[in-house]
Parts: sequence; structure tokens; C-alpha cells
Amino acid sequence: MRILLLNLVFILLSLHVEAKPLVLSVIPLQENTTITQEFLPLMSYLEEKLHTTVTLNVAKTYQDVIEAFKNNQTDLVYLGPLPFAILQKSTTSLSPIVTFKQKNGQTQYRCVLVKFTKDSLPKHDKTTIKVALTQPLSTCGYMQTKLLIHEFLHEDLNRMYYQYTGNHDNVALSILRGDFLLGGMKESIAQKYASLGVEILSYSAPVPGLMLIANTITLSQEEIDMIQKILLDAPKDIYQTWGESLSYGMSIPNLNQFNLENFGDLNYTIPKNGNF
Amino acid sequence: MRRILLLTTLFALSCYGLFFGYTYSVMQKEKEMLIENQNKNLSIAYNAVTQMYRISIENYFQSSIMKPSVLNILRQAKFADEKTKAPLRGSLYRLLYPLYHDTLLPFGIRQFHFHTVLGESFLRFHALTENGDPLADIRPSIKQANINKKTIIGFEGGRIYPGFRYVFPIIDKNNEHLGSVELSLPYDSIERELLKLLPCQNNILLFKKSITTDLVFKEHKKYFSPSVLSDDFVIENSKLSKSSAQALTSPLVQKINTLLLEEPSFKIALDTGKNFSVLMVDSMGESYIASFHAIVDISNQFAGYAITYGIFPEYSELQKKYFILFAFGSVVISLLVGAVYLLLIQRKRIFFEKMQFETIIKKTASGIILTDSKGMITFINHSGCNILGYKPHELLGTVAHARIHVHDTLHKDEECHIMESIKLQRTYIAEETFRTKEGHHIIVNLTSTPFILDSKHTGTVIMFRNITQEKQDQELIQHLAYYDNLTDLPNRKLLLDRLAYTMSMSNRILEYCGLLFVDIDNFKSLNDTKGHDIGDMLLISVAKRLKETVRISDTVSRFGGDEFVILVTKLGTDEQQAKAELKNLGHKLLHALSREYSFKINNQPFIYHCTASIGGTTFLDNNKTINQVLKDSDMAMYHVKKNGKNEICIL
Repeated sequence: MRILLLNLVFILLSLHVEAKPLVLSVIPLQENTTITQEFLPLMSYLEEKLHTTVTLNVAKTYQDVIEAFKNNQTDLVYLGPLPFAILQKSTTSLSPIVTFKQKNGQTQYRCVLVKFTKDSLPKHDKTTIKVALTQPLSTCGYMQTKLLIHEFLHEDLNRMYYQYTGNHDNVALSILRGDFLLGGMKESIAQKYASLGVEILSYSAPVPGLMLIANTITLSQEEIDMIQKILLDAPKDIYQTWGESLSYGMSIPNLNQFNLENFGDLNYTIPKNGNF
Repeated sequence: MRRILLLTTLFALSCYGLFFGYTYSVMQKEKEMLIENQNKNLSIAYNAVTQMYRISIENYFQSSIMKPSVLNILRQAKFADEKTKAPLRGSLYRLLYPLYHDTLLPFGIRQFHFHTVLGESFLRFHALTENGDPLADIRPSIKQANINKKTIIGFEGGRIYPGFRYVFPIIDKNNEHLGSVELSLPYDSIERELLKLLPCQNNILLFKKSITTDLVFKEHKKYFSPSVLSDDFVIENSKLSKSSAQALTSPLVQKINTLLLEEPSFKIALDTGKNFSVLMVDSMGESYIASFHAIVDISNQFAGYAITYGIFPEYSELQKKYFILFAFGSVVISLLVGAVYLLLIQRKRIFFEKMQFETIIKKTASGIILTDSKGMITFINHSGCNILGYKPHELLGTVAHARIHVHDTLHKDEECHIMESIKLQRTYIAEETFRTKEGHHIIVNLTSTPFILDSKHTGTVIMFRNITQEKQDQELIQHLAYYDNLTDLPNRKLLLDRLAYTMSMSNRILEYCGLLFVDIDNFKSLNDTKGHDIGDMLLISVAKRLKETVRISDTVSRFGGDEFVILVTKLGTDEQQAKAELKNLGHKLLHALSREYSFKINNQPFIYHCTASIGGTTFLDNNKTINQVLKDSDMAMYHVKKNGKNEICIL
């Protein structure tokens, strides 16, 4: 019955010729252009199905995305688990729509510690190492990398040099360029740089996948349901043409996976800037 | 009038047709030239920009890429397995990142891409994580650069983006082939430079579908959007391309695109794959131009168009210029047509007047001669020729004065009244004598009028009429008025006139004069018996004998019927002697009259003898009146008649 009702709503809304424009905000996982290229097919698909325009807002920082959501300046956000958890603490007007699967079909992913394979770690004084981080509120940012370094090098990140590079790509690129010796980033992105000699040194425990979250203030439940249905019903040959991180399918987010303890103490103040 | 209107209308239509036809064709040529120039400008600018990039990129290649450190990495990677290649890619990236980031990207190069000798992707600076894919089959430039080892420059499609490729084979000093490298420009870069050369234009690149969406990686198809101009072309997705975004949001481009699609020839031109420009004018009269510069790829296949959109004020100016020209031309032609109309009307009027004058000149009885300023005859009418007896060609070109004018005195031009009046620029009217061809002199009544133009004598018209006969008739009439028709002797009127004159003269010279009345005796009887013809013949004979008998200074007149009166002058100062002389003359007369008269009546001779009765008187000064003199003479003659006739009585 519920499925029938949803289908009816979907059909009725599909017939609506000119729906309201949507704003999709995305955390700066990668370079702006890369993100735009990644999301273009998905946006076109939504535009086609919803008969509306979808505007992409690639935020500069994770905090900007959270603020835009809280200020109802965006209808949809693409977030990792940590920013989601942080957002969840400050607002209840969010509704996860889908989570994107990894290449292995799992929705969870891992953060990794990486270096350029030709670079060598210092044998003694690890505190001289420069570590590249994504963003303060990035899942694979400060907190996960801190854990990874502690496990791999038995050293405290705070005693080392670290700096935020803005996104996962930049972590990989800065390591490749030799600006940093180590970096913390998302596993799937690190793997893409394997062909350039980016070497994964250690893995974190799996964390919930990246999600598309709807703003229940700016979108009605019917609209949210419809968007969710459109995405979940997207044929494989369609979503495979989307950006690499979006191309392995979607599923309904399992909020039970959100064990916030996995991210450490959320009350801990994450440094907003690097230390050098 | 209708004919003139028709001619004028035809002339007007011809003028308008010629003018507008010619001017329109010139305007079309100028318009085509303007359009062609727009397209040339685009082509020149496009070629200049690509050439500028070529020079710079070649320089970067030689100075920054062909370095031993780079060549060493490529040499190691040449035959390395994939695992070994990875750190080499990273090393190459680390080595050339400053060049890419600090120089190539700001310069506008989007794709910096190394290829292996086998034509596989080795390292894409613009898409680092995408490598190892074979390119030789879809990228002829890479294939040619690695097989022919030649630099390939040109537009080409690709796995990610089509672009303006500069593909260099990498060959070290030992002539070892290490692969190739390409530096590619996005259209945004070309456009940025084009805008410097072609300001105030909107630019967009139209890709042939076959080298874009049919060629790129599946996940990159969304990099392109359909073109509104044709299904065979795409443009870069406006979300990725500044030029696309600007062009698509530009009201000007949208308007021109709409106008382009309304142009019937546009689709055909678009399919040709050649340079062309389309001029459009909207409903408000604003002119626009879209220039299409055909881009061919390195295989010399048509790949797309670089398009510039712009307002085209030059055409509006051209239209304005020709509008003014058309308006001015219309006014001039209208004036010309008006002038021609008036000319034709004038011509017709002149023709009519000429015909009138010619008719007048031809039909008039007067002779008309036209001379030039030197007096040479330039025209003579038919009547003139008739009067003078010449044919026209015998007179034309001759000097009128010398040929036909007869002077009473000399023949000098200076003394000719006609010539004199011409010199004085006056009309001369007089009776003159002309000489005919036969040499006869005729009297003509002429009017000579000089033609004066700008105060100069340019010729003369001489109109003349032969009045010779009139003159003769006048003389005859005058003769008949004063002479007796039968005897040709002065009649009573002339006698009385001469008598009055003689009386007044005698008063002055103090000499006696006398008057004799001669009456033929028995004349009535002769008339009655022999007829008036014999009577008339007798009177004629008597008159002749009387005239022969008196002095030449005396006047014999027929006073009426058979009465003759003879006025005798110069009889001296003595009255008696005067009377004696008068009486003596009377006897002479009687003697003359008494001679035999021989006539023929019906061819039969008739001899007649007659006598006369003569009475006379003398007078001097004003001692008598005319009537007294006549009366005295008459009385004297009746006294003779009464006393037996054939005698003389002087009172």
C-alpha cells in the first residue's frame, strides 16, 4: 500500500511541469572542477526526472556546507559521516536520502594514511614529518588521521607538522608534489592515485558511506521521497556513467552504522588550522 | 501631351530602374564585403591566436620539457611494467608540477599529457588519475607523433575534451624515442585571446558531435550540451565552460541564435563545414552578425566552428548611407525627370513654333533672307528665290549686298543704307532696288532687322516684297488722272493746274502768256455721219498736229469733246506783240489742221478736210483770274464760230 501511494505521488509530481529549482551543496572532497564533473551526470538525471534545474554549490569548507544547510540555503547536501554527525547535533531538519556505495559494493569506506612510494619515512625523529589533511570537519581529516598516525607511527599528530589542504585530492597531490610526506584521505580516492605512486600505509576502521541528505525545511516529504525513489530506481547503466564516487550504486542509509564513537570524541575541539 | 507624359514616365522608370538597380548591386557588394571582412577578421584573429600559442608552446616544450631529468624518467618508464611506472608518473608530476601550475595553467593550457611510445596515456596533469588507456586509435595526433615522430598541431577530439592540440614527439639526444607530450588549449583560452583582438563579441565553440560525444569516455559525455543550432553539433557544458555559460546567458547570443534559425540558408551553410557569416536584421532594424570559422582537425576533417556573435553597426551604417543615397538619388532623378518633362514640353513648343514660322516663311509672298554677321546669305525662302529668280543654292553663301542690292550711286558697302542700319543695330524700312538673276532691277519694299545677341550683331533678317508692278500701276493711274485717254494730251485738270502755275510764274517773270481755245468745226456732223471711230481718229490726228505745231514749252490739252486748249508761255513783255505772236500761232495751227486727213473706213480710204475755230487771250501777272482767262478765250472762240468759223480771234 505504501509503495502504491509513493508511486502515485511520484507520478503526480513527475507530471508537474515546472518544479522548484533545487540547490545541491557538496563538501569539497576534491577540486571544484572534479566535483562538478563528478556530479554533472547525477544533476542532469535529477533535472530530467524532476523537470527542474539543479544548481551545484561546491562549498569551500565543510563548515560552509553545514552552515548553508542550517540556514536553509540548500535543499540537498552531499556529506561524509563526520559532518553528518556534526550537522545532526545542531539540527533535526535533515533526512538522509541515499548513501553511495563504494567500488566493492559496500556503503562503508575507510580512511587511509598515504605517502608517495619513493619518499622515505625518517627512521628516528617522526616529529619532523609534515602531514597533509583534508579539512577539519572531514571524516578522513584531522581525527581519523590522528588515529591512523598513532597506530602506524606511534606518534601524536599534534607533535608533528600538519596542514589542511582542502580536500582529498589535494592531500594526494601535495604528497606527490613532495609538499608533505604523509597524508590522510579517503581510501577510494587514494586508490585512484595509486597509478602515480601514492602508497597506502594503513587503513582505518570502516566508516559509514557518503550520503545525500535532504533539508526537510526546504523540501516536502513527498519531494524527498520522490528524489529518493528517483535515485534508488536509477538504472545501473545510468549511474555507472556518473562521477566515479557516485557510480557504484546507492542504498538507503543505515543510520545504525553511525557509531559516533568511531569518530572519537566529537566534543573534542578539532584544530581549525594547521600548525605550521 | 500624352506622348510626352508617356516618354517622361518611361524615362523616369528607366532612370529609377538603372539607379536603384545599380546602387542596390553596389550596396549588395559592399554588404558582402562587410560580411566577408567580418569572417576574415575572425579567421585572421583565430589564426593569430593559435599561432601565438604555437610559438609559446613550442618554446615551453624545448626549454622546460626536453630536460635531462624529464627524459630520464621517460626513459625509465619506456619499458617499465605498470607497477614501476606508477612512481615514475609521480616523479614526473613532482618534477613538472611547477611548470604546469605556474606557467602552463595561467597561460591557458588545460591539458598537459605525456604518452608512451605505444600511444598510451602516461600522465595527464589535468586528470592525474586517468592514465594507461590506449589513445593511438582515437587520437591520430598521438599516433602520428609517435610513428612519424613529427610535431602535430591542430584541433582534435579526445577521451576527455576535444582541444587545440600541440603534440610533440619526445626524442632524446641519442635519437631515442621516449614517447610524446601534448599541450592542449581549451576554447576558453582561445576565446580569451580572441576577445583581445575582437572586442565586444561573444564567442562560442561549436563541436561536431562526431569528435566529441561520440569519442569521449562515457562518463565525460555530460561535458557537452546539445547546440540549439543543430543536432549535429554540441557545445561545452555551460557548467564547465565560461564561454558557453556566458554565451548561453547572453541575451545577444540567444537573440542571434533565434534569428539564425529563421535564416533559410543557415542550415545549408552550417553543413558545408566552411567559413561563413550570416547577417541578420531584427524587426527593430538592428543588425547582427554571426561569423563561423570552420575548424578542421589534424586529419583535415571538419571538426566544428569557432563562432563570434556581435551587433553589426557597420551594416546599419551602410543601410543608413544607402538610404540617404537612395533618397538623394530619388530627389535628383525627380528633378531630372521634371527637367526632361519641361524640356520635352519646350521642345514641342519650339517645334510647333518652328513649324509655324517655317509655314509662314514658306507660304508668305514676301522674300526672306537671313544673313550672318558678315552679310553672307544663310537662308532664303521660296518666295525670295521666286522674286529674285535664283535657286537657293545659287545665293546661299554669297554676300547679299554684292549679289542683289542695287545702289543708285556707288556700290560701296559704307554707303549702303541697309549695311549702315545693321551697323547701327537698327531696323531699316525702305524701298530699295534689287537685281534679279536676269539682271532686271526690281523695286522692293524691305525691312532689314539685325539679330542682336549680347550687344553683338550676329546676323540679319531681310524681308522684302516686289513692288515694281505696284509702282508702275501707280504711275499709270496718275497718268490717267491728268491725261486724256484718247489723245494722251493733258486733260482739263492738268491744264487748269498748269494754267494756275503759269499764271503765278508770269507774275514773277513779267512775260505774257496766252491761252487758245480750239474747237473743231463740224465735228458733230462727222461723228454723226461717219461714226465715233472716225471722230476719234480725227481727234487723235488733230491732237498730234496741235502738239507738233506748238513749242515744247507749251501745253496742248483736250478740254472736252472736240475742244482743245493750248497754253502758250513766253510771249514777251509787250501785250500787242504777245497777242500778235499768239495770233500767229493760231494761224499756224489752222494751217496744220487744214491739211488733208486720211482714214480708212471698212478698209476704204476716207479723206477728210476740216477747219477749226480758235479763240484766245493773253494774260500777265494777276490781271485775270483763271476763269476770266478761260472765259475770254471761250468767248473769242465763239465769236469766230458765230462769224463763219475757220478763223482766229484774240481778245
